[in-house]
Amino acid sequence: MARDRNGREDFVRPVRRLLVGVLVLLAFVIFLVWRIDSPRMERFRAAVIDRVVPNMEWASAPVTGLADLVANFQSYRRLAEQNAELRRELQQMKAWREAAIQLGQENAKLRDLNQVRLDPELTYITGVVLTDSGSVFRQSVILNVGRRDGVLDGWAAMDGIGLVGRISGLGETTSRVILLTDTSSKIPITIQPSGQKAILHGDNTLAPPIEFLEDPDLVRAGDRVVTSGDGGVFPPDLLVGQVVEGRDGRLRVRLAADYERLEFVRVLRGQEAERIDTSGALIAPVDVPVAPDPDTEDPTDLTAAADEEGTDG
Amino acid sequence: MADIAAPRSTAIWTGLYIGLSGLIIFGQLLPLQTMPRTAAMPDLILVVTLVWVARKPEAAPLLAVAGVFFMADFLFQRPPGLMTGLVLIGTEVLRRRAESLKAATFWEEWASAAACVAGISAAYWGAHAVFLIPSAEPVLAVMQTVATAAIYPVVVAATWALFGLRRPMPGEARKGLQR
Repeated sequence: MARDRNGREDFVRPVRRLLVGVLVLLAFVIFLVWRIDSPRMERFRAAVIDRVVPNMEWASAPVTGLADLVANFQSYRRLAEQNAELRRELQQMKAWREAAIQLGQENAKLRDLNQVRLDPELTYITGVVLTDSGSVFRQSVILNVGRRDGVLDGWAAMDGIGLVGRISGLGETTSRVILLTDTSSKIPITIQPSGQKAILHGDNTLAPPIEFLEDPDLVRAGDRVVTSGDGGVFPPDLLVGQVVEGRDGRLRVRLAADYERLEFVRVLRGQEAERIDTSGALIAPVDVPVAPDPDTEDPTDLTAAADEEGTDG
Repeated sequence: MADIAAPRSTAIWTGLYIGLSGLIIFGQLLPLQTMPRTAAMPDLILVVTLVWVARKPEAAPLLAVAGVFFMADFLFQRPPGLMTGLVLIGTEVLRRRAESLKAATFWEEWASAAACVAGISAAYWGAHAVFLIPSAEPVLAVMQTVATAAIYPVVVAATWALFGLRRPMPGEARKGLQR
């Protein structure tokens, strides 16, 4: 764009400047639209990812394999040491296994006595992790299950043990899981055994801090943290992790899920959250449920009796 | 190398730029990094773009830069459009300087690229603060900015060694146009 160029350049320059302006404006308008109407833009993003990411699958196997190979090679050097350690742990685990079997039987017996029915709707879809977010500032993974498999936005994702994150962004064959460590992840939790409710707010570290805790004195390091099910965001009582005291003195949660090896992720089918549509349902149920319980009197009899009283008086 | 047939070789350089950017996006997405990292990697796509703009501005056309960054915005879960717009402004500033950079020393070139990186990054995180977008702690952002500026000579050396990408000497660039 030098001044000493010929006439053609001078003709091109204003057009070019206009193009720059239009493109920059367009980019910022898209950004603003995203900020104002995020869900729509995120749907578009999910569609783009849905197009692009599954195409990478052919290459992801060798690359991931190579990365694993390097990691494994590093661990080979400590093989003997690890072996001894594993054997020792196995011994301990045997004792635990016995205890667990006994507890399981006892639990089953107690459940039978209580006539507890576990929610049959809490089933899951297992997905394979395709890629990560590719950025240091965002913590998320993309799974190979999507709308086609019946996944919905907001469902909980777990690995074998603990909560991993929630679905946010759906494509036809892919879905994005916002990990608990992401800065935009906030989930309601309960801390056992004190039963206090709080919010787990990701901050891009492996141990997210606990926020909005009413009485920190009741919470100790080592306490179990589970989801509270508040707001119908997640099913209650999914294991999240353990309370630890961070180096900065804040209470944090050491996540139970193994973030180091996030390969397969279970997406829990969420239950339809109960919705209250009419104000009448807040005060009394609209239609009285008929409980097939022999111990209590038939509720229809009660209402009939009440009706009779009403006509008498 | 670049002198044989100007339009055609420019297309090749543009293709190389897009291919390289695709490869970087791919490489950044692929290895699973689900642990939050404590150290930030340099923004390689930005560096490659700046190297291209500073050394072969005609081979990094606006639309290619916009397309690459828009795609990266979407795939890296960044606010879509923000980085694209800022990079377009940044590269335009650098492009305007590219002609005078031909005669400049490498230090001057590096300094203007680093200034460009710092400007883009400041505006990017500033926008995060203004629009209340939840973001990671600023230490990481500063680390990434510094790393991005610092890796510029490395990328220059690598592209020179691998593809022979070098600055045209003053006067040399005319050859293609004067025919």
